Amino acid sequence: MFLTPPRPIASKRTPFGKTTCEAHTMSEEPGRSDRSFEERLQAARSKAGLGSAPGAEKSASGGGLGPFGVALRAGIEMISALLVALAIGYGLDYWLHTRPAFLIVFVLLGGAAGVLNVWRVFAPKEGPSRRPK
Amino acid sequence: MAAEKSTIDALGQFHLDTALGPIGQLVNFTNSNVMMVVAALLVFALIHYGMRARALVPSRLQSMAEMGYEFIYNMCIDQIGEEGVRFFPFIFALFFFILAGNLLGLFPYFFTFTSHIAVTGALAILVIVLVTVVGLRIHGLHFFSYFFPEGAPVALAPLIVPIEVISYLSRPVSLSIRLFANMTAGHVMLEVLASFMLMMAAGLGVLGVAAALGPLAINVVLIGFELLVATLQAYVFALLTCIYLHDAVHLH
Repeated sequence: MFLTPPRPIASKRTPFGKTTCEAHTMSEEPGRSDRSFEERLQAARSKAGLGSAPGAEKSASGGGLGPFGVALRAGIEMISALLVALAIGYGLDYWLHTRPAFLIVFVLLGGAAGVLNVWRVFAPKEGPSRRPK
Repeated sequence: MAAEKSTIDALGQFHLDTALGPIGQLVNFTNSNVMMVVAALLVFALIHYGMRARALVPSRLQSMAEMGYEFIYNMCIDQIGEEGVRFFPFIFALFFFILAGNLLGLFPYFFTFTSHIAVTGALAILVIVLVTVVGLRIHGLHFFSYFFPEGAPVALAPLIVPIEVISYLSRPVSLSIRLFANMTAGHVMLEVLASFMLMMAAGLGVLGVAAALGPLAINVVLIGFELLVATLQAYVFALLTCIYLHDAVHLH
């Protein structure tokens, strides 16, 4: 058994990737199980910067889940904006006793905010600005 | 599970009960709370026992702990930037708490606490309050320029600012609804198909037992899919938290 000397855990970018990588090249033998390959691949990927970043953006924007995921994501974005706008409009009306006025205005604004949300999620990512404001 | 006389009680599995007998009843300690405690203890145990050996060649448990740590650590830095390290403990706790809750919920008779919007809503409110406080702390009142994009004509401000504010406030709503809806929908689907199975077997005799293999097969596939959803939703929750924190730290 090799025990690592006590080291600060978060000192490097990939503190564990390095150790596992060394460990497996050291104890490598032909015909080793998939586990070692997977780990070396993982370590190599994270070292080369191919970690989770590109896939992350994709699955977060619903791209990794197919049409169902896209539909769910877009629907939730629109509905949540509308819900917030409804709550604000209703609250303002309740406070100022102007029953339908703010509700009408804020439902329209909420619809616009919903479209804005969906645009932010699915906007084509180009240039340095990752999430267009 | 809960198919009584050809009725499908798909939502019964989300019913809250008090746990731990009379003491739990006294303080309203629910089965949901029990699962939260179990989830927190599991994550704690994984880290504690995983990191205790400190072996150069990691065991399976140590690999899990290390890969989880590294995964979240890199996500923080990739998404938020170098400042992201400061938020690492929060993101780590958030991700693993939700992940443990989602995965524990897949066991039969276990309660899925992430299927309650009260829980996901509380987590989302925690996130948005943190994001707002971080933004205000770093940028002061300049933070409010976040609600008006640079270069837009000032005449449009009365239109843009409310829309941006609504968009900002809709973040916790969509964050909580996404997690809650995914978990609830998956569990309802499992329950409905399982009820089909029991109803077929009970109603159609031998033929029904053979036919019940259909829903069973679908359920087996669904469990696999639910494993994916459970992990993905925990990941998406943590990732979106990171993206929101990035916006708060860097504004535009």
